[in-house]
Order: sequence, then C-alpha cells, then structure tokens
Amino acid sequence: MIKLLNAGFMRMYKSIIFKVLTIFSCSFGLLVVFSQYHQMVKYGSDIDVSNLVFMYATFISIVVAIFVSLFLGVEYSDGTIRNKITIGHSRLNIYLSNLILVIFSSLYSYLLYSIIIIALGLPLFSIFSMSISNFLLKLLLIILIMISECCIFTFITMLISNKTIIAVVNIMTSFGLMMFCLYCYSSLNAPQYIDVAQITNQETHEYDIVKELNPKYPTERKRAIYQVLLDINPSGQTVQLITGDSKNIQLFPLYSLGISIVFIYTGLTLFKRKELK
Amino acid sequence: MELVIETNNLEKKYKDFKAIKNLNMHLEKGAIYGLIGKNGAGKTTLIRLICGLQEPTSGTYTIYGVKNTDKKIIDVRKRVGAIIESPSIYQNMTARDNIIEQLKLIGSPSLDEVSDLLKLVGLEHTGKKKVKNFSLGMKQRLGIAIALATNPDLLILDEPINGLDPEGIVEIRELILNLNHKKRITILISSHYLDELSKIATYYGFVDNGQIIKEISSVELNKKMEQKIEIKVLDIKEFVKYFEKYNYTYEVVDNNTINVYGKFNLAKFVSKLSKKNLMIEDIHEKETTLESYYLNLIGGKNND
Repeated sequence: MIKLLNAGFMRMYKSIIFKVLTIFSCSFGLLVVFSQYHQMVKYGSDIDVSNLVFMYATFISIVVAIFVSLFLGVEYSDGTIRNKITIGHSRLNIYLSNLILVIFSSLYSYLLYSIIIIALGLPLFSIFSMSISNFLLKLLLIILIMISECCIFTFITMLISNKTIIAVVNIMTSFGLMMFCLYCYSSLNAPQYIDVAQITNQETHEYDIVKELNPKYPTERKRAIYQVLLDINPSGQTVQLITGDSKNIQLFPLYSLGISIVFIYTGLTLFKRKELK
Repeated sequence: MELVIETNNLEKKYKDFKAIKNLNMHLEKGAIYGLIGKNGAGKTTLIRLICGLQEPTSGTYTIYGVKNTDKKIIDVRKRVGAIIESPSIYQNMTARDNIIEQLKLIGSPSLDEVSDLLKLVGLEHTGKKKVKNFSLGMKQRLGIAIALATNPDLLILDEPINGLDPEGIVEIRELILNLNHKKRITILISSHYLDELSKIATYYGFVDNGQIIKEISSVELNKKMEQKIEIKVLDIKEFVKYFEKYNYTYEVVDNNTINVYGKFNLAKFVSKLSKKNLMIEDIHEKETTLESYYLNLIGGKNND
C-alpha cells in the first residue's frame, strides 16, 4: 500500500491535472474574495468570512468528479492498472490507495481555497461570526461529506474501464445529486398556503386575495421521505449546512459514514471480480 | 527442468464463448517460449489469466510452482514483468518518470537503475519528451524497460513487435535475446510474426481454438523443418506401408498427397520408390517454414 501511495503521490505531483486543480482552487478563492469585496464596497454588505469558507463545499463535488475522471481514468486508458496487478499488488490495495489519493486531492483543494479565503478575507472583511467550535464542527461535517463523495466517484472510476464514460458518469452523478437535492429542498420549502386572486365583481374586475392550500405542498409522509433523501444525499447535507437549515445535523456523520462504507465495500467486491483487459 | 509456468486444463468462458479450453502449457526455466496462434486463438486471454488480470473459469496454473489459488501468487507475481497488448505507460509523463514510477511501485530504495534501464532500451536521450510523442517502437522499448525495472525472472510479452518498422523489430529482437542470454530471463512471447519468432524462440506452443495443440522445442522443430518432399500418389496406402516400414517421418495431407520429412537425395529417393513399384504422379521439394508448419498443424486453414 505504501509503495502504491508513494508512486501515486509522485504521479500526482507531476501531473498537469493536479497543477490545474491547484490553480483552480486558488483562483476560485480569489474570485470569491474579490466578488464579495465588490459587494461590500458597492452595497455596504457585511461579509462573514466563516460563511465564505463553506461556499466552496457546493462546488467541490463537481471539481472532484472531474479530477478523479482525469487522474484515475488514465489508469485504464494508459493500461497502467494492469501493470500494478502484474507486478503483485493486490486489488484491495490498488483500490484503497486510489481512494486515498482522491480524498487527499479533494482535501488539498479545499484547504487551498480556505487558506486564500481566510488569509485575504479576514483583513478585508473583519467579520468571523461563527465560534471556533461551531466552525470546526461544520468543517468536520463538510470533510466527511467530501470523503463520501470521493468514495462514490472512486467507485464509479474503478469499475468503468473507459475514461470518457468515467468522466460523463462522474459529472452526471455530481449534477444528479445536486439536482435531486434542489428538488427535495425546494419541495420541503414550498409554502403550505399560496395567495390566490378571487374575482368578486366580473364587471369592475374587482378581486380579493385569499389564502389557499398549495396543491404542490407535500403530504407529511412525503415530507418525511424528502427529508431523509435530502439528509442522505451528500449535496443535500452540504446545502443544509451552508443555509444553516439543517434539522438532522446529528445524523449527517452517520449518513456520510454509511455512504462511504457501502461504496467502499461494494466497489472493492466488484473490483476484485472485474475482468481487466 | 524447473517449470516456470504450468497450466492444468485451464479454461476461460465468456458467456457462451470458451476462449480457452482445457489448455495445458509448460514453460521451462530459461526458455524463450513462442506462443503462436491466429487472432482469437486465445493467446492474449491465456496471458491475461497468467498475469492475474482475469480469473480462469476452471482449471489451474502455477507460476514458479505456486498455484493461482494460493495467496502466495501475489508474491510470485513480483518476479514477473509483462507487456500485455500495449505497454502500460503514462502517456503524459517522460520515459524517466515512468521508470521512476515503476521503481516506486516496487519499493526500490534507490533510483540508480533508471539511467541503466533507459540505456538498455536505447531511450537515454529522450529527455523531457512526453511518452505520447514517442514512436510505437520507442513505447514498446519503454514498456520493456518498465517491465525490467522489477528485475523479473519471467518476462511476458504479448505481441511486442506489432506495428513496428523493420528497424524496431530488429531492436526488440536483439533486446529479447540479450535479456535471455545475459540476464537469464525466461521469456513468454506471443506474436503473429512467425518468421521473427522463429529467430528467437527456443520453444513453441501452438494455440488454436483455445487449446495448445502442440508444444515443441526449436531443436525438434528445426529437425522437422530440415526438408519436406511433397508427393502426389495414386495409392496412398502403399506409400504409408512403405514409410512405416522404413521409419520415415511422413504426414498424410489428403487422399493422394503425402509429405515426407528428412534429409535425403531426391533422385535416390525417387529411384527407391520406383524399385518398390510405388507410383508417383508428382514429386517436389518444399521448404518448410514455421509458418507452413503452423498452417499445416491447424489444418491448412489461414483464417487471419
């Protein structure tokens, strides 16, 4: 495992895609700082640095999806995964070492972004409203979510042998999770009553505004299902953490851990049986 | 003689198609074993099985005496270097970085061997050139260098000269011979280029329809290829009786064609047959090559 990681980190260090990830993470941090600074100057808004740190969490999924597809995808397109097996590395170690590399790159990207935000944001905005303990707790939850996403993308990448298909499936999965999260979130936040205009006089076109039950308001059962789906979905957890609208925050680590275990176990089982060419 | 690879009724089935059926092969230590067969005969599948990329449906194989079902097989694989179909190299890295990557994968404590390996395969001057800009021959040589980085006792090469120009083929041939003679590396090589294979192999395994139909040493094969006389006859039974009686090496091709192998004077041979009243319609000498031997073995069909 150490040998695989050693070789993997060397390749990562030398790869262009890792350099692009580094540049992107820093640039994104700079872009966020300057756009927020512009907002502060133009509208006098108060910018909270602690919130800015978590903004990247919504984008990291797609960034990791692309990175994994390009960085690990070459193992199949260049045929190097065959070499690792031929020279006596177990499939278990190959899978886990790749997962560790993906998790590392994901955390590395987030760390770079956070450093830029804190280093430039604190002197510029001077507001850090969150307590350190709350900040660290939220950060820990975000890290667990990121790890669960890495497990999903590694699972996809290690089981599909075509680099292009890997990229498409990973990106679609990332967007799919986000879209599904938004659907659940908007359904849960739909108002129970809506304003409806009721015409009281046909000739004068006078009308009254009355409150009516929203037909799209989910039933209690549906709300419970949407909430569970939102809590399980890593994107759903992220959105709830960022908006501060999280009802079951105590369950998030369990869900993240559960997703990670399921995808690692299933991925390993299937990868062990996978016929390589 | 120690066997490096031995397969025992090996079988590989993909849905309804059997790519390998009851295959038995024996690779002796120090040999250059040429695996010969047409496209789809099962050569690459066999190599994939031996390299652990796929699991056999039934049957077993051993590498250096360790069975494929034994957990120790992973350790034995450390003695193997392989190129399967195309070399396993990172296209966006340099030749040097690819070798360093391989050395790190095997946990080599030093990187001193990098220059030696590059020199061995003639890639020492490639500098910062990315592998994706290499010629096919250069990629093949780099693949061999990577396979050699593990200091293997067994080198498995699947179609290593496919797509190479004549110069590239000569380079790979010399490299293989060099590795076998100087480093005592046992080599399993599959190729379509039978003429090329005949220049290096010390042992042959002929694969057809997923089976090894013949294993033969190059010495034995060369004897068979010394001379072949094709005789068109009227009564084949009489000829068979005669050849059996006088211990000729012969082969009945069809109802009126018979091939005789050996070293003899054609005029004297014809005279002998006439004395025995064996009627010949036509007779001529034919040169036997590895290719003709192979085609003859698989029934004269060339389905490539």
